[in-house]
Amino acid sequence: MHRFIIRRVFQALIALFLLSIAIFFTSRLTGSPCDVMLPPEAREADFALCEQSLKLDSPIWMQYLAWLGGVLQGDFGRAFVTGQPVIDLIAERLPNSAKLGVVSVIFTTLIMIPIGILGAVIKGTRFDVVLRTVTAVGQALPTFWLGILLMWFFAVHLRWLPVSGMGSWQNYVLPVGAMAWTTIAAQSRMLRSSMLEVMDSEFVKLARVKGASESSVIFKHAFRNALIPVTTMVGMHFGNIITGAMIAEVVFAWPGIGRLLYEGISTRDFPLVQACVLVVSAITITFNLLVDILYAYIDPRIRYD
Amino acid sequence: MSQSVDDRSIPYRPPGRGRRAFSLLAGAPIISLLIIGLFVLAAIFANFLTPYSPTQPNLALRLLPPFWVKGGQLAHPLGTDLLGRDMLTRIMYGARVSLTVAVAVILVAKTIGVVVGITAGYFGGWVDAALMRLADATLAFPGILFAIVLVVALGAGLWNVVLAISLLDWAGTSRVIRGEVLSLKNRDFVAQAKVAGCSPLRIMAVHLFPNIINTLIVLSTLQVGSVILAEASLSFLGAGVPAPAPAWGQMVSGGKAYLTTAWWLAFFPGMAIVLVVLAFNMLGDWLRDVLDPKMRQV
Repeated sequence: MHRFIIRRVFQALIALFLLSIAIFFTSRLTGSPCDVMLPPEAREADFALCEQSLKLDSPIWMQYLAWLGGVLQGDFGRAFVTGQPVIDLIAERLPNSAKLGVVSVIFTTLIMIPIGILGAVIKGTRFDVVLRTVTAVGQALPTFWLGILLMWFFAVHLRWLPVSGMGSWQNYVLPVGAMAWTTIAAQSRMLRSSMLEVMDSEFVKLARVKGASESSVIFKHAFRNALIPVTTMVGMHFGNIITGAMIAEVVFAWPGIGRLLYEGISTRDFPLVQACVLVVSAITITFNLLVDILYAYIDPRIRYD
Repeated sequence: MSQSVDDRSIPYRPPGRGRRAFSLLAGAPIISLLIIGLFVLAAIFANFLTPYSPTQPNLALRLLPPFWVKGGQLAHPLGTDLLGRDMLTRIMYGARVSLTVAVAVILVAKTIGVVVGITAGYFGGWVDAALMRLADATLAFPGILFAIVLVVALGAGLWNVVLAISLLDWAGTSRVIRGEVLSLKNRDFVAQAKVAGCSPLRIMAVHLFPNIINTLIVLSTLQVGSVILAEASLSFLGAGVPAPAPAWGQMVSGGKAYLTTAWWLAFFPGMAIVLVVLAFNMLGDWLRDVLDPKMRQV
């Protein structure tokens, strides 16, 4: 168990390390950082001073360490367009993304579980065909397109819900709906197949033979055991909440970090894009690590070695 | 069992094999194949199939609705966009962008995935450990974010999008292939090849590779849909193929502001994405059941 945790932490650290290297070198691909840091009216002397202070004449690995040191202290530079420190912009937007993401994970899980169980119970009937078609289509829907259609129908046409922005609970309905659809489709399909696998096993047959009621077979025997892969899925989903919310944020003008990133892309504000990606990726990797460790405690049957 | 067939002429086959080979096409998702065929034809022959240019504006024909709506023309069946360009034409050229990216990513990512997977599985030890840690680290990246950074840094363009998606997509494949190789390499035919003096390279290329082709076909087909969705999302976010070229995600994004006045701008390109992705997913599901039933969980 401890070996597993140490190995998993080590793995996450490698991922973070590779990520920081990748981000650092992509930033160098865009040219000298002084070009982006100095105002357009800067003179030759300013550039020389800038290059000297950034130690651009030193070996590349020393430059990387200097950059990493800054990042670890929260120094991501300033955004092109507004001139504000990037870290402030991110700190302002991150909680909004987290709210949207958490609501969406809870909603997805609550809907996905009954649909997955239903799919396994009605296997082979006509409704099963309908349900499988709906989930197959669900997996093919791009979130941004579904979001736009939902917005057009419920906000513009029917005027039931606000078009965009953040405020009351009503603002959550459309973005969460657009995000949840694809995930519900994918996760309920996985729950269905894992339920079917468990329902085919010996102990479920024994439960039937000894006369357990159908509901006891489905919920006590099959569902509890099918929950193991489901926990992994929900965990992974939780790790990706901020990434997952990005497109919905863009469509519904939600003031989160995804929207911030989108603004960065459209104005080619590289320091902003770089910092957003670095922060969100680090959060994702850390969450996935925590979920994996938690999971190892929940499921004692699995030995990780 | 037909009585009229001369039994002596038929070589022995395990029971069920013949029927399965026969039903190979009978059970195929015909609608999926039709949809895929249609989009592939549109992508390849777009120049010949439409008289219009996908990029040349024609302001006299701005925002024509689809032909069945009042004011629409049969000459522009799906209407025209803000600059008077034919929507159907742009969707056909958009298929070229999406399918090129999909095919290129599958080729690049699967080649890397297979080489890494076979090498790691066959050699084991520290080679395996190093390659798999790298794969795990890649899988831990939130895919689309990394792709965005790369495209913004390198500049928006078709091949940068291919590069960005490929750099993330190989890892999953390499894990699956490694697993397959681990179970294959202890089989007798590999031992015999070693005794016969085959080099590791020859064993990997001639003896192991043919045995993973089924898995590879299934993985590739199943992944086309997700690559197209990734490309469309990048393009929607403005980190895809740049503006005058028609890409579906970017067309949806451009149509968003005109939902009330010109719904067709965002609707049809999105519909094209859904159709293609759905068709490839269903084809992949079917191929998996036929070629590689043990992979149902993937």
